[in-house]
Amino acid sequence: MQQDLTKPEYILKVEHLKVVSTQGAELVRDVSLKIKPGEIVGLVGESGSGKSISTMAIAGILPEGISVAQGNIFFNGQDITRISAQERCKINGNKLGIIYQDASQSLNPLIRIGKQIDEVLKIHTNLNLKERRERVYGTMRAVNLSQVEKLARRYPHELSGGQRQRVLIAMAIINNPELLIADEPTTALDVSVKAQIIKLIKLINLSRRASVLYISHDFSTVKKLCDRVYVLYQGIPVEVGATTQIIKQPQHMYTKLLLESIPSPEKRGQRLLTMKARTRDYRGPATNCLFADRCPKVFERCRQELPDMYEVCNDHQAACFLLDQ
Amino acid sequence: MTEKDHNILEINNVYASYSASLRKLEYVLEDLSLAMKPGECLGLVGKSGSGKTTLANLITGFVRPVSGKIYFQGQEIQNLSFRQRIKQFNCGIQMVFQDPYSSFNPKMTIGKQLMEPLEIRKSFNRSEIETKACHILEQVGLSADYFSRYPHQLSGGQLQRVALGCALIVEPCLLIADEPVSSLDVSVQAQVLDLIVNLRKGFDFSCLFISHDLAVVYHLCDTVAVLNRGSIVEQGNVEEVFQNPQNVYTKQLISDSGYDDLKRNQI
Repeated sequence: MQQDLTKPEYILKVEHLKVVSTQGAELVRDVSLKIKPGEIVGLVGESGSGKSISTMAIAGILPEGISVAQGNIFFNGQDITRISAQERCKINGNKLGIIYQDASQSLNPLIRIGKQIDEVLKIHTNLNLKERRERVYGTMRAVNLSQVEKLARRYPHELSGGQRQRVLIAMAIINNPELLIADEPTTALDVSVKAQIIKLIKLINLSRRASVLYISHDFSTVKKLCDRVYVLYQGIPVEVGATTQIIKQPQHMYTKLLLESIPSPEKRGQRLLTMKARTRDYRGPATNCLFADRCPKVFERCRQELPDMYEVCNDHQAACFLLDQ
Repeated sequence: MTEKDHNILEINNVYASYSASLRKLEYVLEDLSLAMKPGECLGLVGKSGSGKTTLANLITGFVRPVSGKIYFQGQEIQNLSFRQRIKQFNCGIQMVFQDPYSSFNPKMTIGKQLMEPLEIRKSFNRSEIETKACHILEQVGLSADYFSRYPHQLSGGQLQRVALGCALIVEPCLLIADEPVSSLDVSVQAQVLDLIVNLRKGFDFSCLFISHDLAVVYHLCDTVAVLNRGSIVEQGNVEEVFQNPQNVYTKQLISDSGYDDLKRNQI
């Protein structure tokens, strides 16, 4: 069991990540996150909070004009922040699987499904055609696709949204990755398919021992899946902790806002939101608490300083001055 | 007085199909019947592909049924042209679509698009239309500066508010909302839901609310109809259906949506 001793404690460690655009806008301000092997971690926030950009930085697929300004990303103990494209190619699709948000746009419309899944194996393994085909069919069955021989001959437009999302998951897990990044994989799907995909990700986590970084804006799916949650607001984590703990006792007002946005039977027909509507995102350097304009409990200090993470209890922290007492 | 006078909308044994050949029809909706009372908010739920949007298109007249009858305010409407609809009902049926980004003309200002439905009716003069448009903008929670902006300058939630404004400016009897919140963030979704709840108090309209999110339907609607493969499998009061579903498909849908967890107050 020598391997276990040399294995780093965290499969993914992000330290003070800052991502900026060429215009100087700070898209991700200061994100630090850690994922242990086998853990499912959620990254929650509204659109524009920097969740997708953070994961793009981790996967090294930032769009042109956007770059990492500060911070380090360690994957399996290796610093992957500024590695070359060739080295990146060895990691992505192999030890790091990614499921993108929009399945219909992530597949090549001109290539048959089977061939697209096979491409991952072609690049990363030395298997021959027959072995690869077996593995493609096996993985397709593992993601609950039926009639796989037939399906592999189809083109993406011939598949339903749920099937396409499964194909994408199959591509991400075919090389048994150590970390699976799922960027809002369920937003475009209806409830029943959504529930199936969530179950499937959980199953992959258990059976293949892959850690998962799950990105969503919806606490109701995060609750079903994640062990730990990072709540992101305008590029800064504002609350971190175990999912059950955060849902039971949210400390930051932003987390409370996200939680109260979900319609529940008690609030039927009543107003959902008690806090101010979303204002335009501020992209300059952060000098004070960014949530101050929307926070109902705002006081003098919030407008002057940027809050640190304050310990609430074991493994639960929030960036709010109300906790600094 | 017959039953039809009481219901604002009544659909009787409707069959709909997109098949090109009449010999081999594949029905999207089969023998579907539905009734709505004035002021009612009816939630229409079902998986994607179950025919929810087709039903909405039937009522608005984008699709003609193969057979069956649709009554709106007691009159048969399934064969009326758009021109006749406008004439007879004064834009009485309005629709809000799922994707706010593709429901607006990118080259027209928000104000102009808000005024368009009134201009078609030709019963108001220019200044009246303008005051009405400003008023409705205020009611959907946007300031007057938005009047001269273009759609690309607005966020998804703001555009969906404008879409609601465009629909409600003609004071319709029936609003059809086709998944109006499913493409929005949770917090923005909550804002739009709050707005719809508010508007229902201010305006007098019935609402056909199409969604696959049962939590949203439970929050907003009085009654619910569950659609599966083109037929309604269960229909009734929201609380009764959710607490005591009879149909297997409804039960499945409710368990998938995590409504049981909602009940247990775990969010």
